[in-house]
Amino acid sequence: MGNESMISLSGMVMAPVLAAGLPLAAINWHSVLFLLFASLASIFAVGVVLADNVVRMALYLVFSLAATAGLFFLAGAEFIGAMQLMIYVGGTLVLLVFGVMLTAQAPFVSIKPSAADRALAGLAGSSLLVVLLAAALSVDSWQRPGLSEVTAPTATPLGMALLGMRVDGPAAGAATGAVANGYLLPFEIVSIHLLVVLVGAAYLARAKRRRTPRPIDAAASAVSVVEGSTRVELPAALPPRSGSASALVSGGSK
Amino acid sequence: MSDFLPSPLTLAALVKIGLLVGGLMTAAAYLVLLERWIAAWVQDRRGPNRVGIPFTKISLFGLGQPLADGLKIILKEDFTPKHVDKILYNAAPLVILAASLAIFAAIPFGSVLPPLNIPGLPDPVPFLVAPGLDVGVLWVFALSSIAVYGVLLGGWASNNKYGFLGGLRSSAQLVAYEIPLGLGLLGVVLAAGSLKLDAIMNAQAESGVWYCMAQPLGFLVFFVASFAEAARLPFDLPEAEQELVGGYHTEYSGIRLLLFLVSEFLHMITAAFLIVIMFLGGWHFWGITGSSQQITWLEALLRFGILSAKILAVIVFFMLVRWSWPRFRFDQLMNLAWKVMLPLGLANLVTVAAVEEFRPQFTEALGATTAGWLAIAVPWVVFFVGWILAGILTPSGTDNRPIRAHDPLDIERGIREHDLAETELAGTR
Amino acid sequence: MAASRREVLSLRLFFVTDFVTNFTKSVSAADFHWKRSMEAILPVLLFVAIAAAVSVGLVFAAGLIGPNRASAVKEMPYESGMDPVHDTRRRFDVRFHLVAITFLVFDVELLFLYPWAVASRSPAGIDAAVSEGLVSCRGLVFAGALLFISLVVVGFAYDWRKGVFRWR
Repeated sequence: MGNESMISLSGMVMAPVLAAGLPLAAINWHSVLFLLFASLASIFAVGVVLADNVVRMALYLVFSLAATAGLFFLAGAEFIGAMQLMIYVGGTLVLLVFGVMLTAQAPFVSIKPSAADRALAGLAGSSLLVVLLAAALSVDSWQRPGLSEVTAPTATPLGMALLGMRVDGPAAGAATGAVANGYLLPFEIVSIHLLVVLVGAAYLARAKRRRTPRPIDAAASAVSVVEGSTRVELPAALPPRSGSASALVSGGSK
Repeated sequence: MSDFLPSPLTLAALVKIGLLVGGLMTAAAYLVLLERWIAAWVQDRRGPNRVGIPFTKISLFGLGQPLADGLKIILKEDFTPKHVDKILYNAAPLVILAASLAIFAAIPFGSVLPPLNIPGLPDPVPFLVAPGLDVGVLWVFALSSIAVYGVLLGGWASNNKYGFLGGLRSSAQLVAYEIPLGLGLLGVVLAAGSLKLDAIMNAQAESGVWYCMAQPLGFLVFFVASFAEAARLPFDLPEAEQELVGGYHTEYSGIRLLLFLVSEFLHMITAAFLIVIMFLGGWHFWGITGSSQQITWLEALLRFGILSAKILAVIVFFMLVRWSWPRFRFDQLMNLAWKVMLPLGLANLVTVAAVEEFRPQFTEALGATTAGWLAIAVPWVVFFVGWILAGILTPSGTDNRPIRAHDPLDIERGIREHDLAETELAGTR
Repeated sequence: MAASRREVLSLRLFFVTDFVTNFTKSVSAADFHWKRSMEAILPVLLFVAIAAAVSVGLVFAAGLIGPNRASAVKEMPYESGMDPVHDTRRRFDVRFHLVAITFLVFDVELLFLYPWAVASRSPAGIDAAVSEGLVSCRGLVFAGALLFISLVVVGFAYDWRKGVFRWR
């Protein structure tokens, strides 16, 4: 067969396949990669469930979600794949890790659920699995229906659909001057959701002000400025700082 | 027979990946040398100038320094402290380097090659690893947000206070400046009508107007935000040496530290690539490079050379800034991101959208030339107005003195009385 | 009906069977769409794989070459040469969480705006839709996008007033 030169050419990724005697072009790489990403996503999802450490769970979740993004890419939905990477892996998980760290006192970092918790979670999880399996098995055909006619999706039709023009929908072909239904309303509702989240953030920021003062603030507030008073309390350990406080202090001691 | 070989397309991709990975690693090593030379020049001292060919007296201006540094760091102990979270500690540098390398799958490093006429390989061959990827810009952003994750994990896993604070600060900074970065980018995407970086370059070459001229506000916002994303001074808070020792990589040593440092330099290179490709015309230069896709070998080389020269110029600017500016304080950093850059970016987006929306009408009414000049003039007016407004609304100098309050919990009242005392004092003086 | 139903079930009780039949089948011209998406995505996957291999390989090689001498002092957390005090896993300021929340809001906003930005000027975009009569004029679409942006701007202004972005 004269495989040697080809092995060196195609590198170590291809070598095991060549050794198995399978020609590269004869393999449905799509299936191979699908299985790879699907199993990576599942393995790391199981890792999330089994891990004790919260931040480690977050790392496994990153890998699981990234593998899911790989599945999207593989299906040709590049925009959704990139979105998955940006929002979930880049955004939501940073939020999650911040949240975990925010509460990360030693007892919360390691989670050791009791047997009852495990049983309950197992029950909930397996019932969800049954529902999902039933849904998956009720699909009539997993064979691809005439995909050769579908052009590769791009961001343009997505944007059109979001702004109320479905170029792919059934209405587009049958349009006799009628406006095809798009997703303009959901699009605007999304922005209202975002508005709500921003208002929630403002509420959190209000809560944050009820905090214990920094030592430096406390020291400053000890310098109580009373109009017309000459007595100024000043902690001996802290020298007066520049600015209005020290100006008043020096004025009062004269 | 040919069944056993990867297809020509895959082979071409492999060749490009090899060139890019090798080139980027070498570039990162030699940019460190360049940075040290520039630092020495700025500070009026001699930089690294000794290491040349080993066992001889030939010093070659210190060109052997990166090799010696690399060799030294590889020979260092690969040490994992006892107190760290082993899995996360080991994963963080791998994640961050892999992500910052893989960003380049969507970044073009030239224009196209002249026709090669290789069967199975569609001509012209682009200087881009994944020309079919429709969402190039989003890929770049997605992977740079994964880099945030590496920093955060590295800092947390180190179980060290400096590392933790550094990782926290760093991730907050990277996350905060990703928004202005995206807003600056959105204007370019809007004007070019594509998410592919090569299409963005082509659009600039065809019109002859670089986006830094048509969208000055977007350029400013993007430029500042990419400084912050690359964590270069004045935005190097993640590893502010005087406060945080090494920041998120305090507990790292040897090869893993090298991975962090290399990926930091890769971020700077990525930032320079993006600035040049999106705002400085990419490979285009008036009168030297054509704008068509049918090109000769000379033109292909010229385009590659011009792109590289522009990128190098931006990188040198990065380095000069590093040795000329002091570091921001964290509150100033956050103010700049949320109160200056974000509104300016939004203003840029709306301006660009409006200009692009009404350009056809104006072209019809006034003619192409006048409309073209108007499309440049309006954003510049918005640029200056926005700059002045931002300066008035968010003064750059901020007061860091403690806030006095009778009730230590009532900070708001403290601020009011502080201001009151200030004005009264000003009156009695 | 019932027989075909059982057939369907047995066929795809699980994907593995589907996968095995697919595994050695070469990609035919009928699979144009999948081949097209593979052409687009394969270089990216290769790059990711090679980037990961380079970083793992570097660490692995250095682990083989370098010395390995641990000591008690070396394994202490670094705190400028002092003995470490307190636990590192402390709670921190909620403002970092606020930064993450606001980031996420604007990240999502940007991602919804990208498709609009692309469609706005690309040849197959809004102009084509206007000429096909899918939408009456460009102005409507522009107004929709502006409404989206302005709603988030309102939230941003509210947060600014409420001091979400105040760091002192």
